[in-house]
Amino acid sequence: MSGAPALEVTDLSIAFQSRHGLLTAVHGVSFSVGRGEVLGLVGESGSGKSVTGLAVMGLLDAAGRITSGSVRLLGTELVGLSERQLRKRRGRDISMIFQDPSTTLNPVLRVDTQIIEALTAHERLSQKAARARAVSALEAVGIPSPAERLTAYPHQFSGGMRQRLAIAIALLHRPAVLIADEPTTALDVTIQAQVLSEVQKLAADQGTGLVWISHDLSVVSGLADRVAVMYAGRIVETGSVADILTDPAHPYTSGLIASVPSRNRRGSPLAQIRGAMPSLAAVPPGCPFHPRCDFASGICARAMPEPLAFADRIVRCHHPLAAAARAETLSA
Amino acid sequence: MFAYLIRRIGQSLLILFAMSLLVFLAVYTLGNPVDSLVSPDADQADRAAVIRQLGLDRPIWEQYGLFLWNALHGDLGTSFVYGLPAVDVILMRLPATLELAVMALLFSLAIGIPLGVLAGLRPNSLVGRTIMSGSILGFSLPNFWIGLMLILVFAVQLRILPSGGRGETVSVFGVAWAFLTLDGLKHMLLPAFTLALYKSSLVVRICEAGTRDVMSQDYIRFARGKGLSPARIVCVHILKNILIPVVTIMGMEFGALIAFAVVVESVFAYPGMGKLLIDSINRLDRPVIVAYLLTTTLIFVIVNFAVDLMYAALDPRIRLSDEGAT
Repeated sequence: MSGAPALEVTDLSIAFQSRHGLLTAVHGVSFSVGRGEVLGLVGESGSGKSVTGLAVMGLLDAAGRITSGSVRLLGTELVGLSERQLRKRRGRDISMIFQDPSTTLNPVLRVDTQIIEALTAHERLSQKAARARAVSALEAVGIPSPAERLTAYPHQFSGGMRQRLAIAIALLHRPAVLIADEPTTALDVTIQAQVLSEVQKLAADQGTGLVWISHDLSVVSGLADRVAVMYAGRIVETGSVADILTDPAHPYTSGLIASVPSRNRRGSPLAQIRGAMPSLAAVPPGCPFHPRCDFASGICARAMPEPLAFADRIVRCHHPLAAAARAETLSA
Repeated sequence: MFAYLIRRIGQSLLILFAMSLLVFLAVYTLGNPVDSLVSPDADQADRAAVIRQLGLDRPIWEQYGLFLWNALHGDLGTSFVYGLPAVDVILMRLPATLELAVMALLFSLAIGIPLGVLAGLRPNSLVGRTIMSGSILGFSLPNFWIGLMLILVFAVQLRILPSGGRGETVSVFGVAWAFLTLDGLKHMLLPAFTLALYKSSLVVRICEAGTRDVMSQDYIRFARGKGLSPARIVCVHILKNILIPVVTIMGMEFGALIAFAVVVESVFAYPGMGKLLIDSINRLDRPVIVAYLLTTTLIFVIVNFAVDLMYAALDPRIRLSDEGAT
């Protein structure tokens, strides 16, 4: 495997043209995913996590664009590439699956059409060979009697099966990176677990780097190697999944962890972070989290905290919790 | 499927029956045909004879029963003007109107789908806005005026197209068709375009709305994420989705095309059913009017049936079952 990580995002900023002028949805986000590695991108709705995923794919709406930063896929810069050049990478080196499996597949096209077109978009192969590949792809994601199901339409599949189809299509070319935008959120809990382990296994087998976007820390915790927590368009904390879960440094991360329902705290009221994610047009000055933060002080309202690195973690907070504080005293 | 067909045919028959009742009431009972059939200086005995001969002295339900009975045997009366069975007169003119309507339909799809999809893909661009404003113009300009203007430009000023008539025809299976000759096509061009303009505006609007809707769907994002070419996304993924409403509405509008043809055929002196209807109304040729109305109804019913079948072919989620029948 080459030295360059599968995907390396540096200082990525994304803005949207709106009636209120240019609104920046994502500010200087950086992360990287190695081959076979799983990165959890966690945050509430509106934190900019899905937009980040779409921007990496080059699939932003017409109103959105990357204002600065770089996206390197297997060492190649994607920002600034023409649509035609991007198209050659999409589906082959990098793929994306979406939240709602009932809307990811075109309802009026047969499943085989949708698989074979994804194959022939990047490879020259005969109809027969394409069909054989399609069958084995369906087999790999655990769809029973794939050869017969190939000629069915998406509505003839259940939600879980549809998501498996989408995963099969996304992984057809063994991409270096798969961006999964909450692909299990719309599924039943039991199916969720199946699909989750299916994707994890396939990605690991193929050496595909996985960016798992989710609002659900408990899903990410069982899956990811590293976690990046996003708030109001910024990554506020990154680190290995074990460090982040046991020893969160950012008050927002700790709030997220506390609001995961747990059997141990049965009967006690569920902890929640007060307030709500600010809208893009009204992000508070200073640290955007300060109105909701229990540890906020005067400086939080005035200045945006700089990223603070310690061990293999980064946190963006004026008053980092335990671990970071320890690290600071150590270095002092 | 079988149950659906039976039900659908039953519905169609009901519509035809209701229409026959309306037509009968509207045409046979309003006004007195005797006035136009008997010379003004005929005496009372002559009038009574004609009334008895026409069955006008019988109760209305009996008159209707007789009308229906004859209609079921394909007899809608004899044209006063042509002295031929009314059905034959209509059938002689039907091919001209049908080919005009089909041509207009093709025109409106050929103009409307590309423009509508283009406007939908670039809703905020100059091109998109121009197309959408243009479609409003297409909606609001009256048919007959466009026809007159086209005649003025292409027939009177430029002298490249004929101003009216049907041109040469060739006979296929005993029916005269004009679309198989160059001259016939030339004659059809202007009236078909006139008819098509309004419909193409409609198609533009359906396609624009459909394209904008489909473009924002996840499956288009997913398709782009697969690395498909824009041509494939537009021609397969978008088009197949927006064709469903286009087929439905154009199917219904095909009947309207035949109805609108009344005006356009008059402007272009095009010898179709519509012109025949106007002439027959002017000459009080009642059997022909009745035959026209019932034929048009029959066409409506058949087209709607065909649209339902196409609908099911385009949208796999629709099955022609009892529950699915709408």
